[in-house]
Formats: sequence, C-alpha cells, structure tokens
Amino acid sequence: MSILTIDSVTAGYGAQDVLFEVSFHIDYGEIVALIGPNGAGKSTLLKVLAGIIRPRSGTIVFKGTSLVGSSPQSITGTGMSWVPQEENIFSSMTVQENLEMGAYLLGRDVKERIDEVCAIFPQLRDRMGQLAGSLSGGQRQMLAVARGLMIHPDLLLLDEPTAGLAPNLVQMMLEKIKQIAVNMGNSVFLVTQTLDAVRLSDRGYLISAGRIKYEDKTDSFLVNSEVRDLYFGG
Amino acid sequence: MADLLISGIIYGSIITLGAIGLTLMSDILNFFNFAYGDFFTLGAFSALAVLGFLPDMGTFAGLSFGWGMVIAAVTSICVTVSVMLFFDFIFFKRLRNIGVTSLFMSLASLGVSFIIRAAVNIIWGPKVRYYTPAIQISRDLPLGIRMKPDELVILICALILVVAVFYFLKKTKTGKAMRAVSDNKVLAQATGVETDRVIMWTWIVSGVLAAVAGVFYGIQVQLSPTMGWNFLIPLFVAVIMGGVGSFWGALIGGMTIGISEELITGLIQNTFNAVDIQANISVYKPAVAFVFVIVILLIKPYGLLGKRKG
Repeated sequence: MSILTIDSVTAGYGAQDVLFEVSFHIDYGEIVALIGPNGAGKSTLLKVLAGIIRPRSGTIVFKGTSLVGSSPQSITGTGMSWVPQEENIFSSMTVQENLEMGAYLLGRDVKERIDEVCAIFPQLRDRMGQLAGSLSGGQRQMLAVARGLMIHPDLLLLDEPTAGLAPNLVQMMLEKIKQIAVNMGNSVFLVTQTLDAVRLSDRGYLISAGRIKYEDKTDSFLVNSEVRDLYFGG
Repeated sequence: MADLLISGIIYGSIITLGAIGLTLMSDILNFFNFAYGDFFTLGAFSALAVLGFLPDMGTFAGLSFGWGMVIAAVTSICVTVSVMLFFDFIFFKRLRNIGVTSLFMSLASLGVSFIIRAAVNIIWGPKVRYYTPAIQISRDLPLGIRMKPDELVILICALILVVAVFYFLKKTKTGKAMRAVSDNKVLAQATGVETDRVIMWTWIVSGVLAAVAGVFYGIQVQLSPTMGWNFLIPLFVAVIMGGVGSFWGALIGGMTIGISEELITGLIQNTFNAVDIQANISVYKPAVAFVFVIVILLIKPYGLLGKRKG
C-alpha cells in the first residue's frame, strides 16, 4: 500500500521546468532510492514534495490526502520530514535547539523524543550545548537526519545524506538509515549518488533530465543496462 | 572624563535597545527599515501625548517622573507596536507577498518614515519638547561617579529589557522560531515554523524596543520630530558594526558607539575649550560613528559578530 503517490508532476524554477510529468510511489515502510546525474532534478523533486516548490501540474497524494498547494508547514504536520543536502541545520543554534526545532510541531514529549533520537545517534548526546555550526561534517549530517526524525515522520525525505562524508561515515550513516526504516517503521525516500545507498533500498528510480527513466526492485535495478549506461557509465 | 563615560554608557544603552530591535528586523525581515528611527520618535511622542491627558500623578522620589510616565510608556509601546503592525499589514506584507527585493523594501520603508515624521510634525509641530521642565542635578555615587537618578533608572531598565529580550529569544518557543528563521528560513518553514507569525513577533519585539528607547531618549535628552531620523545613524552603525542579526553584536556595537561618540567628542570639546577655541564639537558625533564602522568593516566585512549568509 502506498504512503506517497505522485502522478505526472511538472515543476521548476521561474519559467524554467526542471521536472516533466514525474510519477512514482513509495509504500509504507519502504526505502526507495532515487539516483540520477547532477542536474537531473533530484533535489528539486524533494523540494516539491516538501512544499518549498509548488508543482505546475500533477497530483501528490500522501496518506490519502492531496498535498498540492499545501505549505511546507502543513506538509511537515502531515508526517513528512525533509532533510536537505545543504544548509540542513540551524548553524547558529545549539544541537539541542536544532532538535527542539525539529519537534516544533510536536509541542510535547520533546525531551523523550530527543532521547529516542539520541539512541540512534549517540554521538549527539554529549554535544547538546555545542553550536551546530561548529560540528564536523559527519556530525552535521547526523544532526540533520536526527532533526528530521524528531516529529516521528511517516516518510523521511533524505537528500544525499552521505555526500561529502568519509567512507567509514558513509557506511555508518547508511546503517542508521536502515535502522530508522526497520526499527522505527518509517518510509524513507533517499536521493543518492552512491551504490551502497541504492543497495540498502527496496526499490530504485532512475531520473534523468527531469524524467523518471526506470524503476525496479534493487537487485534488478542495479543490473539494468539503462541504469548502468546512464548512471554508472556502462 | 568619568562624566563623559557615564553619559556615553547611558546613550549607549539607549542605542543598544534600538540596535537590537533593528538588527532583529533587518535579519528576519531581510531589509533595512529606514522607518525604524521614526517609530522611535512615535514612541517618544505617544508618551508625551498620554502625559498631556493624565492628571498630575507626582514623581518618584529623586526622579523627574512618576507613575504617569510608567502609564505613558506602556501606552506608547502599545501605540508604536500597533502602528508598526498596521504598516506591515497594509504595506510591507503586500510587498513581501509580491516578492519585491530587499532594496525596494528599504526604499518603501523610507516612504513610511516620511509619513510618520510628517504626522508627528503636523500633530506636535517642529519645536523641541520635554517631558518635564524640571532640571535634574547629578548626585555623587561611590567610586567618584556622578549620575542623575533618571540616568540610573534608564540604565537599569535598559539592562532589564536587554536581558528580557535575550531570554525571550533563547528560551521561548517563539524566540527560538525567530532565531531559526533568521538562521535558515527555508529549513525553519520545513520544520513547521509559520513565518508570518515570526514576522509579526519581530515587529512586536522591535516595536517595544523602539518605543522604550524613544521614551528613554525623551527623558534623557529632548523630543523633536527629527530625533528618530537623526538617531538612525548610530543605530545603523551599531547594527552593521556588530553584524546584522547578531544580538550580542548589537549590544557591543550600541555601547561602543554610545561611549565613543560621547568620549571622543567630549574630550575634543574640552581640549578646544581649554585653548579657548570656539567650536561645537557635538555636531560631529555621527563622524565618530562613521569612522568606527569604516574601520570595523575593513577588518571584519560582516561586522564583529556577523556571519556571511548563503
């Protein structure tokens, strides 16, 4: 059963379209990877889902409710949480304040929620009073994902959560994402450029020049000739 | 020297109140509000108007004002905040919604500043006014410090207000939302923060600070329709010097500008007086502020505590 279904979505910046009639779905509890070359429209698609960019046409249905025209605030309130690739933390605020902002719509049980999130990212527990802007790259990504988890989202949108991380941190982050989906029952939509991230997913979509080119279960997805030609260079 | 320092600290504390309001507004609303100084004037004159309606309620022991001024100040805060929210609703909000640039928002605020100044001129006239005709005498305090009781009260109240604003921003949910929008507006929206509500609170906090600073300036110096417009220079310099959006930067900038303007012009004036040169050096106070801001910006282009955005 689908938690998110988008159908024929066209969107872009100004007069320029970036996404062209994009359609896909994510099922409950599923990790879905979206891969594609730079400029393919991956981050734009996440911004459309998060309500930052309004689609020109098409439908977006989340948990049975249409999200077209909804504000970012109300989309977050429905249980979808977006973690951007860049500028994904409040750098002038402390780690604790970042997590509290993640729970802005929660209103109560914030301390308990912080404890739960710190159980996934224990490295954050000792840095609660530290300014987020002074964290290392890996710690920032952990904080960004942790902030996204604070409202206990049904669907977590992650935009290249391993970008710029050292190889050992990439593996650690991917394990955390798997843990989030399996243990916490979240669905995850993962924009990525790494093979390992695709491997931990249940299904993959290939996007190129703003259009979905291919979709399949991970095993088949990774050996598909179109994916290999377009993304992995054959 | 000590007298000049005290005078500078009092002046600096008033600048600091306005600078904190202006820095919040510049950062969250993303434009320099040239009308801010005239909201400061409006605050001061609103209090004058209320005092005119109130019966004589006497003065506090040793001070030039009493309960009447407290009532006038609270009313002036309500009036200033209401007028600010009114202008936001009929003017700035519409401009935001059609997506005008920061430059045009600033130019539009210049228009609002003319409207307010003209209204103050029409209602109260151009001449200088005072809350009270009474003259206060400085009193001796420990460590050889001489200070008027009014000045001590202004200093303590300014300090309380600065601490209150700091705790509001640091501890309350609304304050944290304001800081979040200031830090990263898109991310704040994505976490569920309603930016319209944050903008409203920014006007409210800035309005309270403008009104109180205006009343304090009226108590300490005098009232005139151009007081806020002239006050804009040290306010902007304090904000730019401290770094746009920085609470502590506004505090440091405000106090530095206040103290240095008083000290430097005062010392030069004393020197001129000693060698019998006739000159009114106090008119060069803004020059001191500008020299400071040029030097700071050459060394730290984003101000002392400011950070580059984007």
